[in-house]
Amino acid sequence: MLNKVLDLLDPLLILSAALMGVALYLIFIWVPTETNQGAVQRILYFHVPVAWGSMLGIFVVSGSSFMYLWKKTEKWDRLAVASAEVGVIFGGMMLLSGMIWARPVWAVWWTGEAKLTTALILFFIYVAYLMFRAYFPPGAQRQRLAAIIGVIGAVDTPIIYFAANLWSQAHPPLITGPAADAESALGSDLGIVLTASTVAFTFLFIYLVQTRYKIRKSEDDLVELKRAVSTSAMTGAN
Amino acid sequence: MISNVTNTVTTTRTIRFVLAAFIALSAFAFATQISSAEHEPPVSGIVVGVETDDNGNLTRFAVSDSTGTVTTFTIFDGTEYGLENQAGDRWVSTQGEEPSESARRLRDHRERFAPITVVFENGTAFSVVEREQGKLETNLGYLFAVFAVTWALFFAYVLYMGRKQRVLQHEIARLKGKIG
Amino acid sequence: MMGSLAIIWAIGRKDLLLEIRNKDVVVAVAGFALLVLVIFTFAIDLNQGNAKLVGPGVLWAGIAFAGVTGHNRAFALEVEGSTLEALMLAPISRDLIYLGKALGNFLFIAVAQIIVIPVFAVLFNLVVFRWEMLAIALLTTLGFSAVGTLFAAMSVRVRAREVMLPLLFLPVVTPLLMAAVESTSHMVNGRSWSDMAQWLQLAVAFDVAFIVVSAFIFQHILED
Repeated sequence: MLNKVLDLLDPLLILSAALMGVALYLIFIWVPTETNQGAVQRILYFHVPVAWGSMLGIFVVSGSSFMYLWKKTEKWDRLAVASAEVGVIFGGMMLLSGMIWARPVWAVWWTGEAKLTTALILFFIYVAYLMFRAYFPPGAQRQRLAAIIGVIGAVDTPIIYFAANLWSQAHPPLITGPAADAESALGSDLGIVLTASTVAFTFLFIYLVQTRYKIRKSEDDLVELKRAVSTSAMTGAN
Repeated sequence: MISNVTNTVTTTRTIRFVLAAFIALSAFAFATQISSAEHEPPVSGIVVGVETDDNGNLTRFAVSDSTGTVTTFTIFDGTEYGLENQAGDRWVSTQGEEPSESARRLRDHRERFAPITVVFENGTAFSVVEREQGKLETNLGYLFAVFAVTWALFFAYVLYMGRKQRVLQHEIARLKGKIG
Repeated sequence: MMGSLAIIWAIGRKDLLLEIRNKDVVVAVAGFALLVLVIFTFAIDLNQGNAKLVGPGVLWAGIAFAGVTGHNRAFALEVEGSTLEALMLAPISRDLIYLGKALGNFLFIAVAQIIVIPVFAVLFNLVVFRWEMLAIALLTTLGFSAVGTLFAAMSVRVRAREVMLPLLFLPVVTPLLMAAVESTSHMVNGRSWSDMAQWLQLAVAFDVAFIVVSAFIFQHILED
């Protein structure tokens, strides 16, 4: 019981919850409704930080995958899998919130715009990364191969963005909604709310990655323990 | 090897706590700065008076809110407008760009008793927008959908991690009991 | 340098000889791609009006899907014959093994395209026998086999290999696929090299990046 309470008192969790409270207050009460888009514009204060979180996830996955291939230490692999999982969750939130925003503003759920295409393809690459880990038998080889996918994803990212950019020029995005060329009418207010919200989501991201990292560590400890149990059982039998 | 298992969670806690306290302090400073810059609450209501100068440019207008209180607003070049006509076409502009059109639009709203929302400070209007009465609900629906869907996803993930953690802890405790 | 090229060629030739004997991979790739083309002619209600619009996309989607099948098949053969272990025992640097395998796969898909592209020209009634098409096909096939060889070698020991390879392969080659489709589309609309230059440059950049990175990283796959 005491342990459970202590787990809840993780300072990072408290901090991200408090920051999230500040961000929610700013988003829904403090900042005035934007002139062009109305209430839906507030989705932006949620969408942009979440997109930032998923980018951070990709960045950490590729960085720690590279470090794993170089140093071959467990902690880089744990960090890679933790941030890949959280990054994919954030990526899913980003795609959903983006689509729900685009529907009233652009009048479509989805268009072939460069950033959208890039985000979707990267999302698929990191889903494939997680699926690969789920399908492959555990061990050092799985960690190496997963790290290779992480590095490949990093190599592909600029190429995908460049291609998606060229491609969207060839197919002008279908923006027919009322705010086709909407400029923000909020200026500095938007900046403040966006910053606060981004900081809050960054801490949420760090908290989630840290929690996932610990679980990954426990899994390794469990394997270690099982080995210890089987050896002690064997020596006991002798 | 096995004794390491118990204190994996607590290793870096002190460092994290110091870091968290530092960031919490800066967040607090940030928040107080924000509250000092806070807006007066916006006023919503119908247009009851529109005043123009000799050139037909808007100079002042008055809004009556739901309690019947009339507030008069002055304007400046940066005042932003987002107003719809009866057909629902939205006109988005600023006072500096179209100084006389704003007067025409507000008179149109006065004749139709169409409500507007004014964001202001010290009696000067910053933005004058259509009160999104009918559309507000559909728009809020989208806003609600974003939060509902994504927070559901987030909580599902946290629950999934919590369950995984409990199963692991249970298993570790069981195996330790076996050894110890 | 000569020695390295000889090793790459030896590995590629080994696969090629095996292929000439049983024709496993080329038949799989060509058959699959042709089926995709034929099915699409029904699915999109093909006519003179839309052939130029949808043709390039159908062609390259078909070849990409067929390429996945081909790479799966090529590595399945290695596993069935346990020849991968033999290759690993050989005192050759790993990047040469990769380049040799990629060369073999490149040749298989290229040969399959010699069958597929003329059929595409007939079905969609488009002019494709031009130098532009040769350049596009070579660059795209090179990229497909560079990425496909790497991922196929990784997926060999995965439980659901047939599912895993396309899930890894297709999103990663998307930029190359865009380049192939867009430049083919420029070509069938009778435009010149300069219109598709940016796309061809992109394809070259993709190929170079993935051949270099994959060759460098391949040692981590065949490590035990």
